[in-house]
Amino acid sequence: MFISSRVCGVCGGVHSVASSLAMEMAFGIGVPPMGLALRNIQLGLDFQIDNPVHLYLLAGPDYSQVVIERTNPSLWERAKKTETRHGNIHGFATMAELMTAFNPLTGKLYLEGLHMTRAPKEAYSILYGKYPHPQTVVPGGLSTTVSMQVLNETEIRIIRTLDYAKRGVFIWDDITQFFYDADPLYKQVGTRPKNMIDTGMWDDPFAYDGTYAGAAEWGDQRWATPGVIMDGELVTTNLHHINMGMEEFVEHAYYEGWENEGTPYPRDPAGNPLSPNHPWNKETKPRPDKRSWKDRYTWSTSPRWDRRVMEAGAYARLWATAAAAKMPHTRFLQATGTSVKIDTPQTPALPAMELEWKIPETWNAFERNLARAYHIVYSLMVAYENVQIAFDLMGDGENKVATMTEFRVP
Amino acid sequence: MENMISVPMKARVDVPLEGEVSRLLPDQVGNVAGAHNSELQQRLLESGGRRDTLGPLKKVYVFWLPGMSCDGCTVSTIGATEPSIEELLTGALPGVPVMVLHHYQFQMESGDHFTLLLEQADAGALDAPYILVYEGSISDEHLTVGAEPWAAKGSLPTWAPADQRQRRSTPEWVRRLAPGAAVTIAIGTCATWGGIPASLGNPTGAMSVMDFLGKDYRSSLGLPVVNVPGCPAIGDDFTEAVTMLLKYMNGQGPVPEFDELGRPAWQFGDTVHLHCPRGAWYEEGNFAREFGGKECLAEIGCWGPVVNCHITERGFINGKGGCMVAGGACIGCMSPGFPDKFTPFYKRPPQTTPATTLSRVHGALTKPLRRTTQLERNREPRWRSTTPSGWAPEYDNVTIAHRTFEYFYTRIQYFRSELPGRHEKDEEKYSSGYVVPPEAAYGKEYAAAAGSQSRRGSQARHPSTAGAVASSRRIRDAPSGRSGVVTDVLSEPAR
Repeated sequence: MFISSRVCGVCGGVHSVASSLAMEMAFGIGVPPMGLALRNIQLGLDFQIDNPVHLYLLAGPDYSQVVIERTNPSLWERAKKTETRHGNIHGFATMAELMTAFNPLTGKLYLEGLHMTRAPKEAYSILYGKYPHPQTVVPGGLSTTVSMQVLNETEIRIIRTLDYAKRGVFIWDDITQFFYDADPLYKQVGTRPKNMIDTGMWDDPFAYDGTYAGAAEWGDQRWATPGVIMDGELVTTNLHHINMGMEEFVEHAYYEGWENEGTPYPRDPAGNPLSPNHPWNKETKPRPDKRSWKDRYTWSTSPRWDRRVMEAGAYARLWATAAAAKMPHTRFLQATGTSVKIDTPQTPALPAMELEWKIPETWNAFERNLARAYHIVYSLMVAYENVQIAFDLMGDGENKVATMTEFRVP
Repeated sequence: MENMISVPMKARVDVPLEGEVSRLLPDQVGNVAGAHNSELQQRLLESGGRRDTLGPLKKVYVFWLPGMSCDGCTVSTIGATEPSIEELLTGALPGVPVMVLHHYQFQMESGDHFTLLLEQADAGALDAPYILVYEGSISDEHLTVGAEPWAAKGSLPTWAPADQRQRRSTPEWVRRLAPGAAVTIAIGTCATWGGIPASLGNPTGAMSVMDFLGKDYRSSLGLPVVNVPGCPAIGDDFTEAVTMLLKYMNGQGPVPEFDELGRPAWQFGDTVHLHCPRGAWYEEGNFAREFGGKECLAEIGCWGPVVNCHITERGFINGKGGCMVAGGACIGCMSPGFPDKFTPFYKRPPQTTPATTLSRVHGALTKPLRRTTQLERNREPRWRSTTPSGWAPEYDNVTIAHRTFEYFYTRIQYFRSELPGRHEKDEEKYSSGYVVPPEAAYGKEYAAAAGSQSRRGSQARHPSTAGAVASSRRIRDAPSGRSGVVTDVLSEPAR
């Protein structure tokens, strides 16, 4: 877990948890409910760093005054005259003000984006030691020492971040609508086929049993439903199917293939066939080479599902959950088949409000950012709900965070 | 290291070649809009806030180069608060020059525009000194001669046709930029010691910045490589070290102190165990038997007692977190040799069992002493036999042995010192007010009546003294606020 976390400094926590899921399957052990609730909080907080950084530090400058004013002077003139739709919520009266706030280094939203990653990072560090590369993930749960203090400090930070996240939805809605209104052709920027894949996450503390055989069942109980979307249609929500379809290719990357090594896993434990190119059968053999656009040109490999290029991440997660309408946890969230409704409580600066992310008609750059803004709220609400579950478990005396057995390597 | 790959750039001709020219820099420099970070930094410098710099330097460039890294150190640096990265970027701190950060993730420019500033630094054409920061291990590009490097930044020279350009490896940038840098800082365990890419197997020949630049390397300020280790490095450790260096460069402070491995000595001088909130569990010989336990983690595989780090004191971010604080055993990620010298994880390190056995012996002796003492220390002096707490069943498990212990304990505690209240005058003893004793106000009869009700009234030799004893007892015995403060000036007149 510690090594696989260090694959990535942005999403290391997720790798760490994925690695412990794998070990739990190998050892055949489950996780106590408190361990799973805390793990869900962890996975919810994980997104509170990279998503704001993406929206306000990486994507935000594209819509900032310094860029728009020079590349599209007419658009900038329009922005100065256009009033924002949600100025009463985010406080920017005109689009020009909003775009100025996106300016790197000097803009309010840019600096706030830097600052607002801190509260969730603090919560993450309180529960898991540090971010990135959490130190308390173990096979069978967590090694976190859970106490009233820990849960209280976490909850407070989640609420503070939630306030910021709710505002973000309206900011990105304004940006999207402004560009759509200015020229409908903006809807074509960054359009791609609606192919998406997500394995889901946030296991039900009372349904997850850590077995591969049960993956299809406990997968459907997750806060984010696993799913594959092909050309806008939901194909499957079965984790076994999602696993079966995965392949990885290195034809254009600086690696040697592993054809001569045989196929260690022709079938998965449930008996389903696996491709020789399935990641389980893969062996990494680097071979530096000259760059040639016709042959090999990258260190990145090509993961595929059913031989198709898929998008993954925040919006795939929302999309699959919305389309499947199977998500069973309806206290704050509801998947309707065409949308995800998020019932947010009152927070320091904003009242309680119901937000709804609808599956968009066109899939483009603006919709990706907007979906990401919604996803921040969504994942925070999952974390918030799991804090409540953790409090309840603590009240019941269920404080065990990890399954401790003699691990036998099978 | 001299024959380290790539083009002989020092002999370059700054004239475009004939024929197909790929991407010459336009007049306008920056991203597609011509916007670039330096421009925004300049705006900050000019638009107020930086009237005084308390020193000769207005700005210092910081080149942040990623080698074989996971970006984790970048992510943790974004979280720093002592000072924050915003404060450094916007020049919020007097005496500290503005940090003009050139970072692969936050730069507005890309492609040739991105490498332009690096090339200027290489040519010595910058208008301010620069600091070189390296994140991630340095790869051995001998292994990739003639091929795509393991890690690279930019495709140079920019004036050459596309097919004649060569990717410039990050080690090559270090080789060029390190000698001219005011300081070279390696951030994170990969850059400082080698880290995970350099662990056994090591297909890329990964090494640390020190390994790469060698023992004799000195920056233009005369410093060897400064190392801020950690996986990831604590953001505050880095920003603090940079701030101290920037201040020093600006003539505003002492030269920071570094230990024999180039670590900031004030941060990495002690082991993480010495600041650990669970260290006292160790001292009393209590060890966690399972994950989630609140006791010392030594026996589930914590390396804390031998690893130089201070995450338990500083916290990971904003004073919060820290591995052992949260419940994670130390795996030595700040140390040279990580990960190989600290595996297998969650197995007890060899020195642990003898050490923890000794501390169990020590704990077995000290714990009873402490608990007995604590029993009495957990009470107000007023509560001789009962406590007014509604939370607990009566707290009266006080035995004769305990009373005896407590008697001698107090004797030792106050040996040759003042027992509070023993020799004080009454006015001093009862600061809340000096009340006339009832017998002084109502006469001797009142005192005698009170005396006969008192438990030890019969022992009193004089009625008024008996009343005095009674009322002074009441002060100690009564729960607070029962009868106000009654002094035992008592019967001054009667004496």
